[in-house]
Amino acid sequence: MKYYVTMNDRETEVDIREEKGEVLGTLDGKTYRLHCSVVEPGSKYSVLIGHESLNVTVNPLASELAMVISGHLYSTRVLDERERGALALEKTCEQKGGVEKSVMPGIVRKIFVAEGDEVEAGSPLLILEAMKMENEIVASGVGIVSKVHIKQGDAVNSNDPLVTIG
Amino acid sequence: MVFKKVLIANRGEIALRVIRSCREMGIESVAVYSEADRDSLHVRWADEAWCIGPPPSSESYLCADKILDVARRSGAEAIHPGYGFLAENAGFADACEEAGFVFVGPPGNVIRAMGDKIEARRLMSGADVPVMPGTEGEIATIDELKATAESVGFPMMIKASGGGGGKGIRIVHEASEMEKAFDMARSEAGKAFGNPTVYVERYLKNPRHIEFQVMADNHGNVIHLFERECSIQRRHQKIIEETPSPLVDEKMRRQMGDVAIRACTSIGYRNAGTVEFLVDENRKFYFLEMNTRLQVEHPITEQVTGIDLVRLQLDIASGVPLSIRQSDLKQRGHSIEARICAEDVASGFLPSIGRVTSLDIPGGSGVRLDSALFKGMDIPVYYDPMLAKLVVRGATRDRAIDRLKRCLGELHIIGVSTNVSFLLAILETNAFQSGAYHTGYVEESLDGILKKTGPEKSENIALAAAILSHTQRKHRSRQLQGRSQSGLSPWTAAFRPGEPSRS
Repeated sequence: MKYYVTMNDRETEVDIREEKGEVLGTLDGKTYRLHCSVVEPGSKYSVLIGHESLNVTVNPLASELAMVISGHLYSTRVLDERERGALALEKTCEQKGGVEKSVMPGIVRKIFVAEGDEVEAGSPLLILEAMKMENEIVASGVGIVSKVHIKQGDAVNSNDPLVTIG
Repeated sequence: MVFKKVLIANRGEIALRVIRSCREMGIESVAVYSEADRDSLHVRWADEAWCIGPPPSSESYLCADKILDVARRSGAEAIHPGYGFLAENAGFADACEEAGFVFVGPPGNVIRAMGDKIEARRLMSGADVPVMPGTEGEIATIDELKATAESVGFPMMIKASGGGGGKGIRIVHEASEMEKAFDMARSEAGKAFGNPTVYVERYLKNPRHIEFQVMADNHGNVIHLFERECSIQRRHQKIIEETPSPLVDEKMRRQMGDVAIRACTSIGYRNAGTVEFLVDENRKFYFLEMNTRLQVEHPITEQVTGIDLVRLQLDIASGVPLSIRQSDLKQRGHSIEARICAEDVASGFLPSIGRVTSLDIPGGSGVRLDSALFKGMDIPVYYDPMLAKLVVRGATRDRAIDRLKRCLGELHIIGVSTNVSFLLAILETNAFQSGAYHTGYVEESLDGILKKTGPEKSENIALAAAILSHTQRKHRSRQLQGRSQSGLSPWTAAFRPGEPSRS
């Protein structure tokens, strides 16, 4: 299972897999033996990286994964592949404003709007299936749908226009 | 004759601090508490506990009548006010004495004089204590302010006579700002302190805040217990204090100590007090104000002098003459205090409330934690956000810093957000390490301090974050499975052998 850890705006990919009762993590081509023991669910963990021992507390009130190790705070954001895809999708929609584009290859499962419909920010536009998950694509701003570029069942690629809001 | 029973008119860690000394002295302690504090440690530790009203302090800890009533009914002989609440309320000190109780602090008239900042300035200049250039008395009109500006110069401060602790201050950088600042200062002072009187002092940019602990008995003996460096502040609130000050040398210490003693002698001071000074870049010092009570940061003085200040306060209040002479006192080693507060540093230091679900306390040699925390405690919204004072002592300043860093790493408070990592980041700045800091340092360097990253290797952080998320996800999916299979609540179902339950 791949995880994407972002810290200070830098993203690192970590591949975690379980083999013969052991947990292995690969980062930058190097593989480490990992063990995580839950001392108190949601807040206290003992992590072993090889034989390096990290006593980790987590602030359950923080929105990100805020780990404290020896008093130092390490704020990270961890996403798995699906979450990362969904986030990227959301971001692109926000940035492009008028034309909502697809950020990932997928299949259009449902369309909620037709040309001439009024939408506001957050209105659902369509369902895009990607990575076996249904993702709801919402409007990034207010306006009238001037063009729907796709129809149900279409396969779309990254950057394909989906809906234009005028 | 030492007291048999003392009432502590306070809550939290300072109430425990007083109870501890009382117990060691064989004095019975009487706690008072608001309805919000029924489960708190001061109630549990004291020999007696009396409820004095609803949670807001205006209906409980600030009610002099209720506290005096408890004193009467419990048979206490003396009242220790701690700090905050009624500690610097001259009327309360008078009322205690009138009702026949010993107030563990200075007489009401001294509290009153030092609480009136104009009067304090006047008394101090009369005693040859250096005060900041400024007005003799009140500034009542804009014309008086303009005339004063010529002698004091810019920048200058308009301060509330009833203020203190950095509250009620307006800084004026140039003549054009004067009128507006004057009106605002007066109206703010009126609202905040019930007294619109203001005065003017020269404004020092980035001074150091250095204070002297004093102790005076009822027989005219006064000693000082050296300085405390309190320049690590944010919004006029002290965050980290240390003694000795990295700035003060032997000669300066002697000079400031003599001045502090002279200040106390001239006003007939009694019991524990603190003379606060501002120090400019040429190491010239000026009287700032006098705090007529025990200070939050008193433990660092105790750590280097070996003296129990609360015990000494109680001895003095019962009439015992000081047996320690100035020449007996020495600073041994170095002590630092860090104030642990319930605040969310990431969201602009907003107070954080909640239940403490888990608590690990640092230990080892040279470590002291003054706190009223316990696992399961609800942090109430009504009172100060300070949760604990982590105090260390080391043979040298460097050793003390190393020890404090180690202890901040051992302290885990789960359930509320705290400033622990922020404190650690301050300790690791060059400015703190070198000792070359001032009262504006933290705010000036806030962005850099907040961005400071810890020493852990980045690949370890990434691996830890990934395995932690992986574990959390597995845990969550097991929870969901458990719920659908057994119909048990997610909490019950989530606990499997090998995982400790939340208890």
